[in-house]
Amino acid sequence: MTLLLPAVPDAVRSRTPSGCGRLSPVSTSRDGALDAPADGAPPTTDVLLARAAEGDQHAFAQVYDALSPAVFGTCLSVLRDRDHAAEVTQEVMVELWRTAARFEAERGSARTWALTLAHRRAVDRVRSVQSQRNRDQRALDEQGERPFDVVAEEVEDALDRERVRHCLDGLTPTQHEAVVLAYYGGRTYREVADELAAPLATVKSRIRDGLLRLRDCLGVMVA
Amino acid sequence: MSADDTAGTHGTDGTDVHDLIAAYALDAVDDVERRTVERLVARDARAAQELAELRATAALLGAARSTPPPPALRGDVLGAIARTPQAAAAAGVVGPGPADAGRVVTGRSTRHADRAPAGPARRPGRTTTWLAVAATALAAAAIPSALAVQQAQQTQRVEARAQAVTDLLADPGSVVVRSQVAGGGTAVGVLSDERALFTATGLAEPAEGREYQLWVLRDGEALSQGVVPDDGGRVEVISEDYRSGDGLAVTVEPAGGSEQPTTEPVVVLQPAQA
Repeated sequence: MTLLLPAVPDAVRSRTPSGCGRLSPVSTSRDGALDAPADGAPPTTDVLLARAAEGDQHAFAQVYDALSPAVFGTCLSVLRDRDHAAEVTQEVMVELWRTAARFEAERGSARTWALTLAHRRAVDRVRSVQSQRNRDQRALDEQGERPFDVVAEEVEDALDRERVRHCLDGLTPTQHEAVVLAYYGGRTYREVADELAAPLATVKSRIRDGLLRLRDCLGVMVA
Repeated sequence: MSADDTAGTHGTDGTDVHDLIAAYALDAVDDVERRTVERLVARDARAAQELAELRATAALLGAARSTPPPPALRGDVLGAIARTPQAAAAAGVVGPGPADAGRVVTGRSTRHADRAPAGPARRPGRTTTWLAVAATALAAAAIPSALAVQQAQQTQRVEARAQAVTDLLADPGSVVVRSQVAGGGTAVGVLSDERALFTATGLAEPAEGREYQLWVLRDGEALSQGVVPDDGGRVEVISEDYRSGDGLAVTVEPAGGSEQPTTEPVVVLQPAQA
């Protein structure tokens, strides 16, 4: 598949944060939780990944150090199991290594790419596990024992990034619920609709409106 | 490639594919929908733009959960990559598959000039620190100095709390209990052997001059954990006094809190009996 894009300058930049209590210096790092401070100007992860694409394993070790907490955290938030999360993290990091050259050619953000891949892989795994579990333990599931959702729903407050928390708090309760169930719960919007006994179109709107609102609050912009 | 004539593309079932972009960005679509969205994005600049933004937004949701991976994983990964040949740079030749599909979309559509992680990031666990420092500095610039100090302190607390919560959730022995709150809202406790996280959402605002107060229930006694700051109906407290087998309760008390509960609890969370 080929994606055709307009001439997109390399920028996901912040809009002026709306009520997020942020100013531009951090907002420019919206995707760069691990941005280095200005002093010394060490190579960025994107640069390191480009080196890794040429077979530089040392550079890749630095990529690993920079990205693995976010990758592992993403996997863990979906899988709720450290062993599974570690396995998926390894898959993702090896994939990052394997396809580093392509990544560089496409000039995307290493971080967003890694986390997108991590979430996709984690969701794939949780769905395969759940489909089996659903067959085996449907009754149990229907008792409302869903540590997945409970934890996912309640630990936004545990986020080490208050910004995300702030913006999640800015969603309506129904948007919040739908986005959290979908992203952290690894559910399809149909599953979310079933879970909430809400119409499909309604849930789709909640996810869309909620994510758009998050985007605006977080100041994500692709210029 | 005009966005306008394709943005309203409808699927065979009448679904507006464009409306699925957000769900796609959250990996909340099925395989058929996934491909449908990818087809739309491939030909619709506006859709691609939106997807790029929502992908980056979703990634932030994940990044917000950054957690140091098991230390041994580093060696495993570096060992694995030493044995893994790399794919060529030419686009379109690297293997197909779900993961690759996701990658293609992201890599091409999410473009930005962010400086990427490096430096302090090399140590997992530094992330939180750095962010907290950054957030503090910004807060200081944005608000009067006295408030800035408070903000700095709060940020430190938030950071410590986040780590505590992370530890709690990572504890395989922790259990989750949930209950409705009288007067509105839902409470969830994450209980471990030596501490507990109490969270609630949707709480009613206490009456004027009243506050929520958290208690640890042990052997028929109520140990005050202090009044609970209510942030728009959402609270989160770590109780370090909590021990295995204890319960948690919240009462509504006069501002400043009470030494012992003076009202019936609005919620009680008890671990399941062993």
